[in-house]
Amino acid sequence: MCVALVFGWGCGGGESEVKESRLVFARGADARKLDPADVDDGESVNVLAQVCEGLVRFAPGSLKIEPWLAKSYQISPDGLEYTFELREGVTFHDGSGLTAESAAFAFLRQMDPAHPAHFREADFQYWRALFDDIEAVEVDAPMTLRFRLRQPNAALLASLATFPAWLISPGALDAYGEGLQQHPVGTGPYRFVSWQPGETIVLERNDSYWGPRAGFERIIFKVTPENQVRLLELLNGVIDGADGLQPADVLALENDPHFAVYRGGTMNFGYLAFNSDVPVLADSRVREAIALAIDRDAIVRIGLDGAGVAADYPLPPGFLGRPDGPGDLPYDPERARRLLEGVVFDHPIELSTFTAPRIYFPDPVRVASLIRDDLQRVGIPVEVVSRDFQSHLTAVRSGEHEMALLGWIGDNGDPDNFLTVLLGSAGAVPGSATNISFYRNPEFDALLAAARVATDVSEREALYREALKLWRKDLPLIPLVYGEQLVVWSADVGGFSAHPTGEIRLGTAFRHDSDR
Amino acid sequence: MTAIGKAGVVTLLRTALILVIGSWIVFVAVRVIPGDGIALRSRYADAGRAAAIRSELGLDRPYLSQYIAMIGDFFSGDWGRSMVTGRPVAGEFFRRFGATFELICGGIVVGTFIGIGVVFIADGFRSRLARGIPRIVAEVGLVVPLFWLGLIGIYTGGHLLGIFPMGGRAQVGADTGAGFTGLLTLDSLLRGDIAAFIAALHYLVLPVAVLSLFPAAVVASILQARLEDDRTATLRIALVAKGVGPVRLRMVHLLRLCAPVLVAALGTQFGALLGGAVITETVFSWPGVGSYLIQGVLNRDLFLVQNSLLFLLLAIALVLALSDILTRWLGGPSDATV
Repeated sequence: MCVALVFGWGCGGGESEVKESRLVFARGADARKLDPADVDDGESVNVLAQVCEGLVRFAPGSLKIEPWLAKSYQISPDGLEYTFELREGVTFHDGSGLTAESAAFAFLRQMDPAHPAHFREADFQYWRALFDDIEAVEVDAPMTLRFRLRQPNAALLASLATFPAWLISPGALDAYGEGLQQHPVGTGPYRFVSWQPGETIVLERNDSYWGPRAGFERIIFKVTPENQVRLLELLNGVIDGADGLQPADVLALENDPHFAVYRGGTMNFGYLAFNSDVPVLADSRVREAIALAIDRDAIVRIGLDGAGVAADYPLPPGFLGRPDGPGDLPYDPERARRLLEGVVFDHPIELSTFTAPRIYFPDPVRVASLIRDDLQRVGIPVEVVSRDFQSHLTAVRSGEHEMALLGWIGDNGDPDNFLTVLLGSAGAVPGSATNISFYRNPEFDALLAAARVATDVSEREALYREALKLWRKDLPLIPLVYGEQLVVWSADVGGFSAHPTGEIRLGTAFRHDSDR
Repeated sequence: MTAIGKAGVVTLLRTALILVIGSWIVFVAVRVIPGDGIALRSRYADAGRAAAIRSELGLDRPYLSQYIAMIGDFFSGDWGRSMVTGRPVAGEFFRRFGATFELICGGIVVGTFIGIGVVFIADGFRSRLARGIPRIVAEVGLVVPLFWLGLIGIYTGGHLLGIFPMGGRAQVGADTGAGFTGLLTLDSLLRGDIAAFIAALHYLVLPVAVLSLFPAAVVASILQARLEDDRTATLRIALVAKGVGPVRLRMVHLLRLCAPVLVAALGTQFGALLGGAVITETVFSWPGVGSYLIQGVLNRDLFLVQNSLLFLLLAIALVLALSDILTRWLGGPSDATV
């Protein structure tokens, strides 16, 4: 303690410290808003992850939930009451203390349409999707916050670790009004300083942070739209770290001692969906044959340049209910050919894809051509249709496709967040479909509904196992890959770890002394 | 006098026609472009909510009343808010406009100088080979993709040689020093800050060099064509016979002769130049309206795209009208010399 104090003073005085204690991270796009309750893009979340914190959080590098701004929590046996005991001595960046009252602000504003911070233009989509079972948020004692639920929701604790549940100071509303969406006031290791839209976001160390002191004086998030330029900036030391680089370029950096490559953010998967309303795809032999004909390892190797893993379940590894070993999706073009005997294709099947890179498909057009070649080899004629991402999304959500490539990036690490969204019949409404296979199976829906309210983990696990068996039998979509997020840092930046959720946490990052 | 008056009326009518047709095209384009920005705003799609937002924004009203509202909002400065960032569009657009204006002015000025220089220098040599050079500049400048050229520029100037920054307008995290005009070169001069002026120029060199290639090509090809035409040849012989020196011949007489066509050409190519600026801004991380518009289109950010396009349309129409007037004004004396 004493040594740390002396060391801390000693460091603060040096002239070189100013230059050394700045971290610059570049990405392809700017943050959209800096309001945890009203964003859904990685660029915004990665800034907020330094500024804001939640009651609980995902433990570093895992999907395990650990208490964070709450020092402990209790869930009632019926699963209807969640009680959080808050940590003492935590202050928001505006100096106000963390109490149950101030913690409740972040939730009440999303929940109550009459709340002054429930801005008319804001969307609060995650509240509707993940937190809708919350009936009331109550201040039980000055440091005790309680959530009351309409029905049990086994995913709620994990949802409370995600960014829409991160806390912001109620004082931000008084200070900035609607501008709080551009001025995050959290409790995190760094505080917000300034934002030049399209250029930079500047954060500085929060000297009154309740946890370990942050390693940098300032963090700057910079926008460099062009991937190749971002790579050059990294090679020339203009920036310390970057994401969104082309996997092929990152492979070249992996053997370079000046850089460290982190692979993380595997809480996603890219898939091929069959529109079950298309007659030829309603034939289970055709779906089975397509699954057998696709060489998923080749997709990872060629389509993703190795930045991922072949997927054999519609759930990423480590998720509840997902069997550990390899799934039952072999590559067997011979068997595919045999299955198709007698099936006549009077027109090529359309395969819709898109042009913008996503974490699960860095080059979706290349993935589509690989699949087309695989399928044509077993006698299935395929025509690839490629659109930009927004047009593609509109088309597939309306069910205008036959086969389509798409993916999903999970929010809270719970199986329900994948299976209900992508395969539940509630999501199969043309026009706003998230279930773009338009798979409607009452038995499957019933299993998921039971798993949602089950409070016993092994019971939930068994239900999801059953659901996965149904998925395999009906095969409404074929999982292809689990994409990897690639983050590259200059080798002298330490204390960084990759998270399955894909969020970048820099609270523990620092710069090694060796170069000085 | 009546001829000039008639010409003025023609210019006015033409400008009005461009604005009306152009604004309808903008209006229809942002509405029929595939991909519904409102429905796509949520990962968890919600058709009912999207319909409610659409009606709140007046997007379910008849097209004519929407069009009138669009024009009214544009001129009253009520440009709405970005559906993605929630920021007012007008504020953000004009905050970035200076950056784009600085880039485009640089591109036009430098490009015109290069175009004129190349043609006149080549014209000074009698060899066929040298006379082919302007042609090459013209072809290359019209064909080479700016995107590729920008990357090559950053790779050589920034990475290999290390003498130019790799994009942006100022050092990362430093105060850009943008002031009243939003043009860093002008703002720094107004403050009398020479160091900041040089820094701003330093950041301008590569993107302006890339952007200037297109106007250079336009100027070179037009100038070259004019020099080769018969009328010019006759004038030339007459001037040389009068004893006019080679420099004076080109910089005064020939340039004056070509000025109207050059102005007209740059005026009509202004739109293409804006398009070039959009690409240049993206490659060079230049925080202007071009990259703003690109993001808007990708996100289907309706009001952002609509009002930005209307403003650019207005700018293009005004530049065209101005170049019209300027051409006619320049046209008088140059015709008289012949």
